[in-house]
Amino acid sequence: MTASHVPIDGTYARRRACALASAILIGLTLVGCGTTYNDYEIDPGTVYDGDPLVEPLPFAIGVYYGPEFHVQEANIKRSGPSWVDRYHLRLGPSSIALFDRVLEAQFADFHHVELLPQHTAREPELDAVIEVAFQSVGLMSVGYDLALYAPTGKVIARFEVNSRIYAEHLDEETVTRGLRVAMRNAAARFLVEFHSRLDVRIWLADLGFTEPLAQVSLPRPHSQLM
Amino acid sequence: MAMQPISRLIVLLLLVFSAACVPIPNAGEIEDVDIPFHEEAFLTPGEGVVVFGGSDDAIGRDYFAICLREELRAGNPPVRLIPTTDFQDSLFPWFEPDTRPHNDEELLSFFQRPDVQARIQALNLRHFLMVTGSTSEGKGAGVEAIAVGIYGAKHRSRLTAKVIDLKDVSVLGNASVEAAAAGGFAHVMIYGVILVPTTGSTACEGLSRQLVAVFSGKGPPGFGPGPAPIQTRSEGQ
Repeated sequence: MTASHVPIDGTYARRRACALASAILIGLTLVGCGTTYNDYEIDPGTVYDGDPLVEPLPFAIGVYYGPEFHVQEANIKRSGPSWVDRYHLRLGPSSIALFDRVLEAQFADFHHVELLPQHTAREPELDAVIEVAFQSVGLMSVGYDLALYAPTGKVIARFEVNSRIYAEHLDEETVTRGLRVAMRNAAARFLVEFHSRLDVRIWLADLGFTEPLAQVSLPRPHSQLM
Repeated sequence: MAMQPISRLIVLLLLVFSAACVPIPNAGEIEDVDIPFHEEAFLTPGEGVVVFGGSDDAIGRDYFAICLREELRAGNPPVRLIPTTDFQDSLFPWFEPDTRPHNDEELLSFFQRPDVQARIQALNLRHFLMVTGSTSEGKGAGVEAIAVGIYGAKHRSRLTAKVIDLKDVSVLGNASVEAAAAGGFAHVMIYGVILVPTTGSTACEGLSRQLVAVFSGKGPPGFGPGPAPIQTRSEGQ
């Protein structure tokens, strides 16, 4: 090795190190500027499995969940400067379990039906059929459309129950909790408000039901709800 | 191996900047205590309490409610806490965000219902606590003080628990504690300290101590010898 080789090799090595450092710096910058994608699967599971504090109505009710209700799914995105949260919500099975529990407590006799009354022969053992459908699904909100049908298929009442929960910061756990609370809240509103509706009261009176129900007056609407 | 001058400079800068801002928590002290009930709030063995918080408590994120639950559970003696989920499940559909009673009159009317009383007794639940808390910052130093690197203000946290006796179905009153502490910063060049007031947890611990003492029959701290022992009340029932 001659003395003249040293500066040439040293320069080459410095350039190489410099290029490597630049590449690392550019790489780190690009990684820093890149978007992070987070995917979350949200299934609220069992929302309520207790014994509701309601006095059952002495009637037989059928409940109809449409095919799309069973497999209800929603995809919702939230994004920031460098992140995207993709939420995949599955509310169908937990909503069915919830409303089964609620309607089972609300009526003395409860059955699932495969078709709405207008699409099937009259079922004399049922006093009415309730159809439950999704109206809206959000990250921390849910809305249900409910329709009450006479055995003839005539609509007795239609109503909706919506529930929205607010939180300052959203993450997977908060969204799951928020949805569970929103679903319970919507179901609770259905149980509490059902008897107080005029069309439902007329229907109950037509069936000969006039006994007063043990209830307190309905509280004022809360700011958290739609 | 001796450190290169550039490395020494980096180390020095790191040391300087890490020392530039040192956060120091300041718990402060309790300035005001108001416990308007004593012996009527005794818990007999096995009886429990439920703690409800503000609107954030719907998803279990109310700081003051979480704190008070933890403090009561860790009290001496520990208070038997009924989980809010058990309470809500037991009274469903009447204690969800949009169906729960909102004022004293609605709450008392609801808790008096025979079917509600039956569920409450099944839980062996004695007291319902509704917790509200707030923290405020007093007027701080002026612009001149900030310009020379000094700022300070007094922080106050007030925690209030409305206690409803579910056995007699009556409002026992609002127990409250206020804690105050100084917060701020002082800088000289790039060195300085940040005084972080933690009055929320001080108020929470203070209120918990008072409630634990009352619930256990010792009487609140600083309020004399305390009321009669638990057995006296049990015998009278």
